[in-house]
Amino acid sequence: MARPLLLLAALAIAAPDEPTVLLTDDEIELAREFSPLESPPPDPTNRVADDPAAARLGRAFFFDPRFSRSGTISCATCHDPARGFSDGRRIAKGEAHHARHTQSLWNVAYNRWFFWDGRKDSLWSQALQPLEDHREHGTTRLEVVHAVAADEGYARAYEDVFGPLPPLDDEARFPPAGRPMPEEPRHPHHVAWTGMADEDRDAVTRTFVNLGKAIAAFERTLVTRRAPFDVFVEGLATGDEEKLRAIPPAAQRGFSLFVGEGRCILCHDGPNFTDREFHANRVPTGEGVDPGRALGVLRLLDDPFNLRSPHADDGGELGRTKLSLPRPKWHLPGEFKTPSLRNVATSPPYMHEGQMETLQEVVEFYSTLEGAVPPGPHTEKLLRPLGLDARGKADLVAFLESLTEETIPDALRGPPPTPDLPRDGR
Amino acid sequence: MHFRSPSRTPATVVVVSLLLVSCRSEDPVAPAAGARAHPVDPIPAPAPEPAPPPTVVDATAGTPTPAAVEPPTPPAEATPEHGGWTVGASDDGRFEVAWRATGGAVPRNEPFEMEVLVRRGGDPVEGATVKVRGWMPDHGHGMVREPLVREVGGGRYHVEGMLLHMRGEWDLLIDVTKDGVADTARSALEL
Repeated sequence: MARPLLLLAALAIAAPDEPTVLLTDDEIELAREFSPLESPPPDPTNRVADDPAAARLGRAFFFDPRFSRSGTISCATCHDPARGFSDGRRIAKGEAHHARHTQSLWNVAYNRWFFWDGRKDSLWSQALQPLEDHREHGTTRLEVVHAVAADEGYARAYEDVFGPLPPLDDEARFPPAGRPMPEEPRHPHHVAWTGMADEDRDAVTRTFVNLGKAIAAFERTLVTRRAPFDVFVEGLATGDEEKLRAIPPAAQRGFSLFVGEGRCILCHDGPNFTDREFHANRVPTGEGVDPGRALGVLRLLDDPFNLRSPHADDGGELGRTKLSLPRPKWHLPGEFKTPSLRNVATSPPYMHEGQMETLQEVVEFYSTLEGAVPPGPHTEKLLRPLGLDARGKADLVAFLESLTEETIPDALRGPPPTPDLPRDGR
Repeated sequence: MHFRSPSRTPATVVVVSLLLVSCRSEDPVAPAAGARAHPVDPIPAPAPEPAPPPTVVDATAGTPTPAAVEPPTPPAEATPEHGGWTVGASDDGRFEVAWRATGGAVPRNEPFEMEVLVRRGGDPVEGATVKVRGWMPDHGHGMVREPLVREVGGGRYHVEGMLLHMRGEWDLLIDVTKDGVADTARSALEL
């Protein structure tokens, strides 16, 4: 309800005799640090990261609910293109309820760490975990690779990109379902898995990982880089009046707050509006304490798919430094990854438990810190109530809304006609 | 606590000393304190060139100051004007420490590597335990990583995994421990 009023206010303020650019020279310099956003960085750990055929296979997989226990959950169930590649829910729900809010996938390829707690260090290994999480897809890697092999389109698409599938029709070697579950050694899935020959297990896991790399190739295309704010920054460089009017005066004032007394810039820094790291921002939480990054970093170091594993296509080069560096002792409970703010208005609610329904609520929280959990030893010392007035809050929201790119390419909205690339004569 | 506060009290120095000494990996071939172990520097040093006296960085004041205890003897090649070295004495003047980012300027929120040169009385200090930390005094926290330090000889130490992830003021702290002597060198950075 607030948006039409805001727009009216903005129009009223933008009187003809008022300058088009309200930013100071220093703020203009800062604006140029936030735009443009370059292409996603390469991923040397995924040899098909930028392969269109892999992205097409990954896109088909992303929207296909068959890769789940009930046959009703796909990646897009929680990462819905129409909801900013999130789900609109406070807490995620796949085959069961999760503990945290679904993050948007916009610009996920720019991330340094994955999940709220950074328990994954690559996009492709992130994509694997929900498939075997009983709260999400609730399936097993054996079921996944069998389903791919059983579908002519998927099998062809897979083999075009990655080479031959394992001989999965040999039921004696490849049971219909199974995955490693060392925490439940008597579970039928674990028993089936451990009953396989080492080389067959490796072949299945390799196929499973390849599918994660195809999903990652698709997710690398979920990029938003030209919001009205970016057009405005182009106008700052060229003086183009039309571009300078791409965002309303309220959004310009909001940017001044964002980089100034609001201090939002400290964490939401750079062209993707995130420092890609973890902070304790004291948002009210539900029952219990979510360990966040403190546990995430332990899980990362113990992850069989991390960048030190043989599944990384760069021979472990990136993992050698990336994984030797994070230390659990640097993190205490309550730290979560800073999300990007690009397209943020398209994916409410907000925060790691979806605690805040609207951007107005988010700004209100930072303005008052009402309900904040007590500060811990690693809480940002700079986190103090901003004490914004009504106009300041509205201006900040207007700025956040100016980061929304309005159109989603059709290729991102649903699956391709077939998992594999069209062939001549088909 | 994630990091020790960059306090300069003697008590802190003692604690730092004990901690670092207890953690130090022993090097059986490490030379005695003050000994010159390598007659030839394994890393070709840049040719010395005439330059103004090097700056001693004092993180507390954020401005160049004279050394507190004894004027350090900076390595000839380690001058701010040559190769971007920052030179200073450690808190108690026990070591002369010079450092530079290998890629030039220290970047904000991008990984970078460093070279650290440790000397005492002008001689390279080999076999020391060197740790590098970043601290944001205004934020009350430091880096989110623990850099890896590898000795490369001639009093030089290579540091990888540096990441100063936020905008603002940082203190770069270089802890040096050698033969039971521990001290910390500090530089203030604005990113």
